[in-house]
Amino acid sequence: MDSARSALRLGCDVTVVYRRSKEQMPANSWEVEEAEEEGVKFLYLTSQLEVLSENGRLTGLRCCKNKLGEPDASGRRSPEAIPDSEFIVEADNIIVAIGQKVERGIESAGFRVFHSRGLIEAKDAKTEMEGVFAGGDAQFGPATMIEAIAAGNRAAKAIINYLENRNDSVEPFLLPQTDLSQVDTDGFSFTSRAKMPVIDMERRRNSFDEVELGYDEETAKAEARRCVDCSVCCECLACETACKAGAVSHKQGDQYLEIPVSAIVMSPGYDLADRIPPELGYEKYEDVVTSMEYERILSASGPYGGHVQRPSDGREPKKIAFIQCVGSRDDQCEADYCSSVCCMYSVKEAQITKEHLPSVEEIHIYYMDMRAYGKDFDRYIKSGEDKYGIKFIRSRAGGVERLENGMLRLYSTRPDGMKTEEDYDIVVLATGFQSNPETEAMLGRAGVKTDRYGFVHCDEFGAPETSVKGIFACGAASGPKDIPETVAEASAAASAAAQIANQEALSEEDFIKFFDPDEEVPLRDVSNEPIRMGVFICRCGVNIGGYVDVPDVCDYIRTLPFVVHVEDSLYTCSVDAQKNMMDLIAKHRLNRVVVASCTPRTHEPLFQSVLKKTGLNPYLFNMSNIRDQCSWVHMDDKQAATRKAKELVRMAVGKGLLAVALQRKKIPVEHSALILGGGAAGMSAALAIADMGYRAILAEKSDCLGGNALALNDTYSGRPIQRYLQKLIDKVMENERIDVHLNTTVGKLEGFVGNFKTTLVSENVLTPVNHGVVIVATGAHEAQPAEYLHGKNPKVITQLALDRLLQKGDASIQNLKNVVMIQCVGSREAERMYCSRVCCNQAMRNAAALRRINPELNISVLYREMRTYGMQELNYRNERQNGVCFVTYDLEHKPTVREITLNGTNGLQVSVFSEAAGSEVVFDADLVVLAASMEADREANKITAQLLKIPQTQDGFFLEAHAKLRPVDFATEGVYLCGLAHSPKNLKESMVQGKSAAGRAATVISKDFIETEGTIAKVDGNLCTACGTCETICPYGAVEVQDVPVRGGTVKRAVVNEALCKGCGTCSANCRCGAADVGGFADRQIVNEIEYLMRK
Amino acid sequence: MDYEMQSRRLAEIAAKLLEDETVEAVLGLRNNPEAGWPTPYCARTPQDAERLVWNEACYTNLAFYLTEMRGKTAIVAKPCDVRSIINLISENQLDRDNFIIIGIECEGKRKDGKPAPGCDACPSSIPGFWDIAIGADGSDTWCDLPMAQTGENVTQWAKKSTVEERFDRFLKEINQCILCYACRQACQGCYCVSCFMDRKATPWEQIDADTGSKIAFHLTRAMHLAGRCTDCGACEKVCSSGVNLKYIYKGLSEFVEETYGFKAGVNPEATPVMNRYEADDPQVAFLGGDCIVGI
Amino acid sequence: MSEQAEFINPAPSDPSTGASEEWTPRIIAFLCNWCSYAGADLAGTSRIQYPPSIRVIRVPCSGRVNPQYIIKALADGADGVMVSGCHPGDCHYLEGNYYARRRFAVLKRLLSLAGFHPDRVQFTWVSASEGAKFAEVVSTVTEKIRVLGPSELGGRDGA
Repeated sequence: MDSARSALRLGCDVTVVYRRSKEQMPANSWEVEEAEEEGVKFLYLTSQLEVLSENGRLTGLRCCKNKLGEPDASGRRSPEAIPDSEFIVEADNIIVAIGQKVERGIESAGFRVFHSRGLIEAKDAKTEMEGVFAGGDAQFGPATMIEAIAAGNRAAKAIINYLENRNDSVEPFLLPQTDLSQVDTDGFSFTSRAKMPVIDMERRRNSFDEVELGYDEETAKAEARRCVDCSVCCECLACETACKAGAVSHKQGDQYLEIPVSAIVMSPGYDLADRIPPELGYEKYEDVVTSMEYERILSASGPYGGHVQRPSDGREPKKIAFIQCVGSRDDQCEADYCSSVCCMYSVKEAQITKEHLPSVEEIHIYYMDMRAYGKDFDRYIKSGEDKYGIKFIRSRAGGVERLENGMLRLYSTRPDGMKTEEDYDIVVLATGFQSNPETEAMLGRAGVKTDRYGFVHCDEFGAPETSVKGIFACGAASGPKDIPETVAEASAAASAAAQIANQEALSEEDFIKFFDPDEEVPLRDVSNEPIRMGVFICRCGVNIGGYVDVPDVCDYIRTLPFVVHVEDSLYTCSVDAQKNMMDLIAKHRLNRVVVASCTPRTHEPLFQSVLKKTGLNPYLFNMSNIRDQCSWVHMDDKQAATRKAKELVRMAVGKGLLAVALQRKKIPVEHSALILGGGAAGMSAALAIADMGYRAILAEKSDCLGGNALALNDTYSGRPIQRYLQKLIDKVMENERIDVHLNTTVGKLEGFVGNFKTTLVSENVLTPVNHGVVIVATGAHEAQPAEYLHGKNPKVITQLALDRLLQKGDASIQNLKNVVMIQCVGSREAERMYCSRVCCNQAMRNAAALRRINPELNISVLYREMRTYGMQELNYRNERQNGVCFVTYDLEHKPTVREITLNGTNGLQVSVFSEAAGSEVVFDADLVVLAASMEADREANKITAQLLKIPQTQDGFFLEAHAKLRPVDFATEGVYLCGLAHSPKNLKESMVQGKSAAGRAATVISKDFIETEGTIAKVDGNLCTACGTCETICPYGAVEVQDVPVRGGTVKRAVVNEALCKGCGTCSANCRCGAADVGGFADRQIVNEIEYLMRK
Repeated sequence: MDYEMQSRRLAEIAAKLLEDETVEAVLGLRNNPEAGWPTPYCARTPQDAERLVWNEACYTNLAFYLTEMRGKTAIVAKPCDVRSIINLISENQLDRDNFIIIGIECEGKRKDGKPAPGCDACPSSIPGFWDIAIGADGSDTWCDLPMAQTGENVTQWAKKSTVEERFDRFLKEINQCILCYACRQACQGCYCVSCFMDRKATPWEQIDADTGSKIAFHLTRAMHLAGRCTDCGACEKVCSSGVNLKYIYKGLSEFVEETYGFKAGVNPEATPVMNRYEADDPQVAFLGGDCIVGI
Repeated sequence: MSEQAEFINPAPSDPSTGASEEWTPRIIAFLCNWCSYAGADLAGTSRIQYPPSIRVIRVPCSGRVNPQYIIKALADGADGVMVSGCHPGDCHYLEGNYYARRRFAVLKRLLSLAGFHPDRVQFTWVSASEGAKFAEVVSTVTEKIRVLGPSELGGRDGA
C-alpha cells in the first residue's frame, strides 16, 4: 500500500494486481480504502502471467482472472486461474511486492533450529538448542515491526530466566478484557466514533503532507466523554512506577488468614430499611428523600456543601415534612418492631435545618409516638418545639403526590379519623433498621441463633452472649439500638471476651506475636551537654519538594545558632531515612532534633520512637508542618511558600532549642475495683471484674443484694425474674474474688486512678481498702406519686407495687374485673423533665401477667406517648390485639380519679378527655395502677459526687464523660458509672452497662502500672501564691492547693497530680504568677517561637 | 464630714482593742511631715493608737499591707480598702477570721487640691463589710453621704472616639511612663512573688523601657486586673510621672460588669469571674459572632 | 464582620496608598491541636489554597493561649494575631475553650480601648472537619489586616 500511494503522489497512474480477493488482503483495510479514495486502481483475483516489452522498454503486463479454490495449508483459499481470461495491463514500470524468506545461512554454522516450514522453532523464545533463543520474522514469518520488538522483549526475559534460572512469564502484562455487558452504561447515549478530518484530495494526491489532521479540542473532549470507564483501574501501572518507596504492588491478591482466638465479638452493624411503601413516592419524586440522604444534604461534605436545597430544582425549601416509622412498626412489610432511633434523628435533622437555613418557615414531624426515651432526650425534643418551632403532628401519613407547581402534597389521617393534606417542598422519610442478609448468612454459618428479623438473639439476661459460647454480639447486630447502648454493649462484649481469654493463659510466643515489647534503651541525660540540634527538612517526594525550594531552606537554616547539621531528605518517614537519622544523631552527638515535614498529629510519635531508639528523650523533638500547612496550600506561589517554610522552620528551631527532657512516670496500679451499689448493675460489674481475674469489693448500703430488681415480677414472655436474680446473688456471694460488704457506706475516699484508698463504714466499723478503680452503681428509686388519690385510696398503687403483688400472687389481684393504668405519672413534667423509660414496657409486662391470671379482665391504659422502643413494640402490639384499650391524653387534659360507690362496693372511676373520641371517656376501675417516675437519689448522689469529684446532671443523676461515645466513663480517670445512677433504664440495659463499666475498668486494672503523659502541667512552688485559680478551673481535678511541708512548718502551694493531668494548659494560661506551666508547650518555648519569628 | 470626731473615735477604738489585746496591731495612717501626706502606720500599744490620724489626705489603700501582717490585726478601712480586702479574700490571700475591719465612712479623699484618683467614681460612702463602724460624724451609724460620681464612663468615651484618638491617648500615657513599677507595688491585685516582667524563666520583655515593653507590661497588667480591679486609684495616686492608665482598668471593669454581671470586691464567696464560664457566654470576640461595641 | 457601628473607625485605607496589593501581612495563628490544627491539615490535604500570611503556633488547647502571648506578639510588631479552637462543647479537654472565650472577650475589649484596631486580633472556632472554613477564615482575616496596613508598632529592632 505504501509504495502504491507514494507512486501516485509522484504523479503516476497506479494499478495494484492481487491474485486473491479484497477480504483476504493482509494490508490494513483502512489503508486499502484510503488508497482507493486517492485513485489507486485495484485488480483483485488477477494473476500476472508475462511481462510485455518493446525494443527493450516495458509496455505492460499480461494477466488472467482467478477464482478461489479450497483453503491451502495456511488456511487461506488458494486462487485458481480461470481459463482464457487473459488481458493486458499497460504499464511503464512494474514494482514486484515479493514475500520474504528466512535466511538459513546460520544452519551451516551448526544451528539445527529450523522446522519444516523453514522458520525457526522456538517456544517462549527458547529454541531446542541450550542457550539459543529466537524471535522476530525468522521465527514467526513476515509480521509488523511492533511484533518484532515484542519478540525482542520476550527473548530478553527468557534469557534472564535462563541466566538466573527463574521461570517468570515472558508474556507482557496484558490488560484484562472487560466484558462490556457488566459495565453500568446507563447515562451513556450510544454514538459512533467522530470522523477524522483529512486534508483535501487535491493536496493529498500531490504532496506528502500528513493526511489526517487530528481532532479539534471540542471533538476530542466529546470522544473522551464516550469512554465508558469500564474498569476504574486501567492497570497502566503508573502508580507502581511513581511510588519511589516501592510500596505499591499490583500483584497482591486476597489472602485467607486463620487466626486462633479464644472469643469472637460480632459487631457487623445493620442496613437502612429499604422497604418503603410505594405510595410515599420515594422512587417517583426526587424531593422525597430518606433520612440518610437528607443527612448528606445537610452535611458540609455532602452533595450541596451543606446548603439545604431541593434535589429537583435546587430551590431553598420553605416547608419540610418528616414522616416517622417508615419501614418500622409496619406489619405489611413484616418489620413490626420499632427502630428506636428515628424519632431522635428526625428532630436533630430538623434543628440542624433551622440552623443552616434560618429562612425555612415550617418543619412538621408526622409521628405515632415520639420515642424520646433516652437521657435528656425529652429536653432535646422540648427545645426543638420551643426554640426551633418544630411542629409535631400525631397522624399517620397516607401518601405523597407531586403537584404541577413542584410541591409535594402529603395526605394523612389524624387519630380522630380526620383526613388532612398539606403541601411541602421536601418530604423526609425516617427509615429504620433492618438486618443485613450477608450478616445473617455468616451468623448462620457460625451457628448463632437469630430472631425472625435476622437480628442476633440474645437471652434477656445474658446480653451480649449469643447462643454459641465464646461468640458475643454487640450493637445493632442484636437489634435496633441507639449509640450509647451500642457503645455500652461493645465494652460489655470486650469484658466478656476478656473473661474467656483470662481462663486460657496466653502462650508466651502468642503474647510476643501480639504485643512485641520493644527493648528499652536507657535515655542519656543531656541536661549538661551543649545544645547540638539536627534539622531534617523533608521533600516528601514532590509534595514539598515541588513547591518549596528545599535546598534554599536548608542553606538558610544552617545559618541559625545551635544548628549543627541540616539534612535534606526525600522521605524522612521511610525506614532507611529513619536509620539514617539514627546514624546522624550518633555521628553528630545531637541532643535536639527538629523535623520539618508533614503534620505532627500523624508523624510525631514515629520520629519520637526513632529518638528513643538512639537513647534520646523523645520530648527533645519538635516538628514543623511545611506540607499540609505550607506547600500544599500555597502551590501557586513557590516564592512565598519557600519564605514561609523558612520562617516556620525557624520557629520550630526556636521552640526546639528550649525543649526539656520530660519523664513519663510509671504509677503502680491496684488490680481491684470498688463497686458502690449491689443492684443488678453492680452485681454484673462485680462478676465481670472477678471473672476477668481481678478482685472486686462490693459495697451495698442496704442489708441485701438485688436493689430495685428484687421487686420485679417476670419478663413479658412470663420468665420469672426473681429466680434468675437469686442465682445471680448466689454467684456473687460464692465468688471468692468478690468480697461483699452489706450495710456499708463509704466514709473517706482518697487517691486517684490506680491508687484509691477508701474507708468503708459498716455499723461504725471502719475497714480500709485499696483499689484501682471505682464503679458507681448506686441506682435510683421509684418516686411516690401524690396525685390520682395515691396514698389515699389503697386501690391506687404504682406499677412496682403491682409487680410485688404479682410476684407473691397476692389475693387482692385475683378477682379483678376492671384495671386502669395511667402512664407518665410525675415524669416529663415540672421538676422531672425526663422520661423514666421503663414504665411503658412495665405496663405491658404487668398487663400480660394480669391477663394470664384472668383472661376476661379488661384493662385500659391512659398514656401520653407509648414508648415501647425496639423489640418491646411487639409487646405493645400484642396487648392491643388482646383487647387492651389504649387512650391518649395530654398534659392539659390529665385524667381524674374519683371514688364512687357502685351497688354497695366502693370502687373508682377514671375519666379522661379522649382526642380520638373527641369527648370525655369514663372507666370504672377496681384497681388503678400508676406508672410512677424513676427518681435519682439526689442527696446520696451529692455526697458521692463530692467524694469522687464527679459532676451531676440537673435531674440529680451522674453526668458521664460523653453522652454518646463514653457513656460509662467519667471525665475523672479511673471512675466509672452504670445502672440507674446513670439514668432510668430496664434490667437488661442496667446489666449490660454493669459489664460495660467492668470492661472499661479493666483497661486500667489490667495493667501493672499506668504511664503518665509527658506533656503535662507542673507548678513551680516558689512562684505560687495559692490563689486557687488552677484548682477551680481544672476539669479533671488534677491540681489542688495543698499544705506543702517547708522548713519550719507548711505553706499553701498548688500541686499537680500527674496521673490525672491531661496537659491542656488552661491552668497555666489563667495563672497570673506564671507558676503553672506545661511540659512541651512551656511559656518560654512559645515566647521563643514568637521571638524567633518576629525578631530574627 | 467631721474628720476631728472620726480621728478621736478611731484613736479610742484602737486603744481599747490594743488594751484588751483583742488584736496585736491596728493598721492605720499617721501624719508624716517628710512625706507630706499620711503614711501607713502599725500601732501595737495603746499609746501608739494616739498617733493614728484620719483626714481628707488619707487616701492610701491599706489592704495590701494586711497580707503582710502575721498576728490578729485590726485595719482602718474605707469603702475602697474594703473592696480590695474582699477581693483578696476571694483569692485566698487573706483569712477573714484573723483581722477586724474598722469600717470608716468616706466621702472621697483629696490629693493636690482635687478629688483623689478613684474617689470621683466611688459608688457609696459606706464600706461593704465592717466589724466596728465609724460614721461620717464619728458615731457608729452611717450617714450615707451623697457621692460625687463624676468619674469618667470609659465605655461611653470609647464609643464616641476613633481608633486613632484611643491609640493616641494610650500612647501619650505610655510615653510618660518610665517603667518604675510603682503602680504594681501599690496595687492590691499585684501580689505575685515575681512579676512576669522580672521573671528570668520567661524573658517576656527586655529590661530597657522601650515602647514595646511598656505596652506589653501595661496591657498584660490590665488583663490580670480584669474582674479584680476595685478602682481604688492607688496606681494613679502613687505614679510619679502622673500616668493615668486607670481608665483602661475601669473600662474593663465596666465591660466585665455589663457582659458577665460581676463586680470586683463585693462578694468574698463568689468565684472570680475569669475562673468560671457559662455555656452560653456571648461570642463577643468572634469572627462573625455577635459583636458588642469595640470588639 | 466586626464593623464597629458606633466605634468610628478609619475608612478602609485605599489599597493604592500604603497597604499595597502584594504586601501580605504576617499573622501569628494559635491553633488548638485537636480541632483547628486538624482543620488546617484538612485544608492542606484538600489542596484548598489560602494566602501565605499565617504562621501557625500549635497549642494543646485554645485554653492554653495566655493573653500575654497575643500582647507580646503585637508588641513585637506582628501585623495580626488569630486564635482558633474547637467549637464550644467539642473541646477535647471539656472546658478549655469556654475559659478561653471569656479571656479573649476581655482582651479584645482591652485592645480596642488601647486603640489597637479590633480587626488585628481575631478569634474563631474551626472544627477538624471544616477545612474549607479554615481557608476562608484565613483569607477573611488576611484581607481585613491587609486593609489596615502594617502594624503601627512596626518590627522591633530585634536585639
